[in-house]
Amino acid sequence: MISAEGRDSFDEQFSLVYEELRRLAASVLRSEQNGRVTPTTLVHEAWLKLAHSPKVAETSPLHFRRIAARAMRQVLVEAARRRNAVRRGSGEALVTFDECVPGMKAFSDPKDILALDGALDRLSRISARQAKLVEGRFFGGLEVSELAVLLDVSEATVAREWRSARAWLAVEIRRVLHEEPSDNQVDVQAR
Amino acid sequence: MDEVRWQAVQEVFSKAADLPVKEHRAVVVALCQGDEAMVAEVMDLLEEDGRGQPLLDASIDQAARAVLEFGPLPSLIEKQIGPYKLLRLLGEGGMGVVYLAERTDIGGKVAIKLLRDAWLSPMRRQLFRVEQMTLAQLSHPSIARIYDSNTLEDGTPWFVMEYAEGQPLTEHWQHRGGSVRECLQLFRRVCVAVQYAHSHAVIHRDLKPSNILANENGDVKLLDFGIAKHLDTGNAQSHQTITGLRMMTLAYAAPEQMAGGAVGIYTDVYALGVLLYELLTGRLPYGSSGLATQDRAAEKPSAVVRREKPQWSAQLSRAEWADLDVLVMKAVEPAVNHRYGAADALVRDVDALLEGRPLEARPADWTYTASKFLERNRRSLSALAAAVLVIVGTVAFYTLRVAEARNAALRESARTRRIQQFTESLFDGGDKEAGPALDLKAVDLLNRGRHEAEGLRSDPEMQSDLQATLGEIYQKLGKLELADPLLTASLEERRQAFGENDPRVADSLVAMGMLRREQGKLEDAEKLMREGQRLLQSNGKASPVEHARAMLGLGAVLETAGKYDEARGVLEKALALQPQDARATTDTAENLAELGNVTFYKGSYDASESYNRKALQIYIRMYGEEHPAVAQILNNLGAIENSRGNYAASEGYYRHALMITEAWYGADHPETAANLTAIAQQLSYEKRDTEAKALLERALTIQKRGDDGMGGTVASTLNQLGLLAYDAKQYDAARGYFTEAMERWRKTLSEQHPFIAIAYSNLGSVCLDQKDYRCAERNYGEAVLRLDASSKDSLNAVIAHLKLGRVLLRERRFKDAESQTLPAYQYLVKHVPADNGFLRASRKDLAAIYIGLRNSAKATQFQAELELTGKP
Repeated sequence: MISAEGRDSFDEQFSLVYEELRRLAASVLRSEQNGRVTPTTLVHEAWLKLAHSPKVAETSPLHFRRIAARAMRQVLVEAARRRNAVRRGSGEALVTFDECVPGMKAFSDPKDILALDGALDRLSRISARQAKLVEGRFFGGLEVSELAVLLDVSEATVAREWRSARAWLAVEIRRVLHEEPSDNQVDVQAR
Repeated sequence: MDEVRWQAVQEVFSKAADLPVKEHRAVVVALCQGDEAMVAEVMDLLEEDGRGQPLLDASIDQAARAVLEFGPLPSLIEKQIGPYKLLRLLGEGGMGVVYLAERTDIGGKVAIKLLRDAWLSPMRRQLFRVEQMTLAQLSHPSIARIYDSNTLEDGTPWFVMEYAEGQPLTEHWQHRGGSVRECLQLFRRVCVAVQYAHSHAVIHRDLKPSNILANENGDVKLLDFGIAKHLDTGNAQSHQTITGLRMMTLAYAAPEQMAGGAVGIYTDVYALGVLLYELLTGRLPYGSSGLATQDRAAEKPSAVVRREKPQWSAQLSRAEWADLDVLVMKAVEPAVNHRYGAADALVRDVDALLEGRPLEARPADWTYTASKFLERNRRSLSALAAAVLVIVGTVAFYTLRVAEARNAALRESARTRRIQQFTESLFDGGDKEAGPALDLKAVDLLNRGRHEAEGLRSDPEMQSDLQATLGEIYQKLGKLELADPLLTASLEERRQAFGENDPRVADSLVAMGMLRREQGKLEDAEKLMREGQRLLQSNGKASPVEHARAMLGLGAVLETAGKYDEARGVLEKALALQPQDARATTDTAENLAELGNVTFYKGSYDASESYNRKALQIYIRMYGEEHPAVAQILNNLGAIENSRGNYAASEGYYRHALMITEAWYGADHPETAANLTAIAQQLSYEKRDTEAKALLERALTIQKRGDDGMGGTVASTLNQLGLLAYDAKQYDAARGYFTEAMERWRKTLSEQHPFIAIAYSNLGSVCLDQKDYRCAERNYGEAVLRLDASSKDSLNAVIAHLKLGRVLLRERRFKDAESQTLPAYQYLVKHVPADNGFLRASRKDLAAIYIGLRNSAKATQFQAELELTGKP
């Protein structure tokens, strides 16, 4: 999936991932005027992640973004994991930004990300292409047209496979979350 | 679940998913053929599909909200940095964050940009500094300027720049609205600012609406030079990396930028093109992914407008829309060499469109018609000026003339108008708006024109003008035998109509002279030129420009004849009469270029370079940077660097010229082929024979395919291939090439032409290497005969004598050898630098000859001279 090409393109990719993460963080914070935060921890993690993967590259921007999507997924999953641990440990209710954004509460639980991550892993075992597709679209923000180029299939195929993968993942996520409903419940009530 | 099963489940799901919910179960049961487990699985999927998956349906931003651990950071709002108080966040661009700030001491609003996370890497700090330096270097009303800079205590660098109020360009245009013309004027202002940056060797590389603000008055301001590149910094490595930073704005990134390829001013041109497309149509040419592929060509703006903004359609005529389509498509062209090469070319065409003139972008489309009329030969741009004027619509030339001499200009303009009408009638027969049919070759057009000219007997003045123009065009096309009767007829016509002493007769004489020069009849040519000049002098009414033109013709002929000193004198006098500086014309440029040639052949490379550079400036001003005339001068500069032994520089010029030529004429055009041969020659000097051969073969394929009167250029290529083979000691191949070259030259040139002599001489060299002295003597003899007839005192003639002398020496005919070699030596001593290879060869041969003649005194003398000049 990720192949080697050398140090220079690697730096380039990191920069790319970094900027994407920055952009993301910025959009998260757009509503926040005074409490600015730094995503450098996040970036640093992305950096470590990529630096330790022995093979990185591909030259086209689409592949860059594909790699960025992968990095994003890993960073978010780890953040979710840590955050989940904090909640379990302290029971402390952290302030989250969705409080500033009405109507956005539907998915603010770190567990959802973890469930998605696990489900995606399982999806990749029965359809690697669909797992890539979801990763690229959700974590990388790639358009249908871009995914079609990246995966070398028609846009209609992308649309069709996205729909079935999404349904499949939904079944899986529901199943996983249903198995340990308590924390989820608590969190929802906490808000 | 395994792969196979998932495929089966998925198939059923996809078939059922779009059906009404109540039909789901029945359809699924039918499709699953009794597999109950599968029915359950598919029904689960359908249920989730109907419900939706909130996480996946939401954006990544929301997911990130849930998990990112944002620790609060002290806000900078209301903080003081130096004399500035930060008021609010303006935006984040590149790596920086920009605040609106107020100067607390003297008041006034500014924008202050801070580098985020400066500690992260030195590269970030470096880039930030580069942006700062870039801005400091630019001073233009449409570019935000820099006021101040410093570093915070924690090492965060910041700088202060002009605060530009306004909206992103496309939003501004959406809100404000206006006509197509106003849209073009707004766009033009952006182009001018970009062009200014380019002229300071700065490429923006991230032009997009949010980086271009427009205020209520329509004033524009370019922002964010954060990833700008300095053309002249060799630090490509660090800049390369930066390209990646902005992959996220794919829509405005040129394909070469996305591919990580070489970025040039044309990269900004692409972004400008996307902007114009968006301003005109409200959408992006290649969608938000910015991916131009073969099956995803952008829709023509006119088509989008017709469909989506019908109220705009009537603002321009159909022809103007067609022009605008050409202009926009040439700007968003994915292939660099078909795109506008520079922002000013874009500006010129926008102006042309606004002023109702034909576009420069057009010629590339008229591959077989207009471009053929255009300059293909470095020498006689002015001879073809009328045709160029008609077709390209370069009115600058014409306007300058008006300033020069009103009466002459009136006559000229009347003539121009009529020729224009005439030329338009030539192009008739195709769709007028689309231009002439592509398969209609220039020669066919001209044949039609010739008949038309013959039918104009009632208007001898017009007829003679047409004949002259057509004759010159035929000459450009290499159809000398067709040019001859036309120019002759035109001359006679004018003599009868205006009398012997009219300047127009002189004009015809000069044109005839140019033809004779090309035919290799240099004595005739010189006679005609002198006659033209005398006529103008005796007439007394001729303008300085007319005098200058006749002298330029004479100078060109003298140059070809190898009479460089005399040529230089004449050309310098001509130059003194040409309009200079801001009023310089293409004649001035051509005059400078001829002087460049003369000085080049004399070995005065510095002088030659200076002349060529002046010519280059004029051509660029008159035609822009991507005109064939510019390419020709670049080729000359290449030749100069080549002669200086600066092969890298030389190759650079040649390749630049090639780029222009390819963009102008297309990759398969004979002009492109001619350029390829120039580069090949260069490569063969560097002993990069394999590369040279590949280029020559490509050139030869082009030339043979399009061989309509271009026989001469095919011959040059063959000659060069012959030289390569000769260098590689492949004598049979070399002989084959030289012989074929000679045959082809014979078809287009007179028997006496120096090129035929060159072919003989090269054949002679093959024989000499093979020690077939009789054959060598015969071939060199033919060469000498011709060169003495056409250009006795030229370097080429002298070299031929020298070679003949060497054969005779090998045959031990010392006395005969002396009679060839000694005069050659005497010429060389006077005309070339002391370490010239031919001069050394002549000394060496003379030493041997005098040993053979038992004249030991002279033998010793030449031997001593030889040793004195250095290397053995």
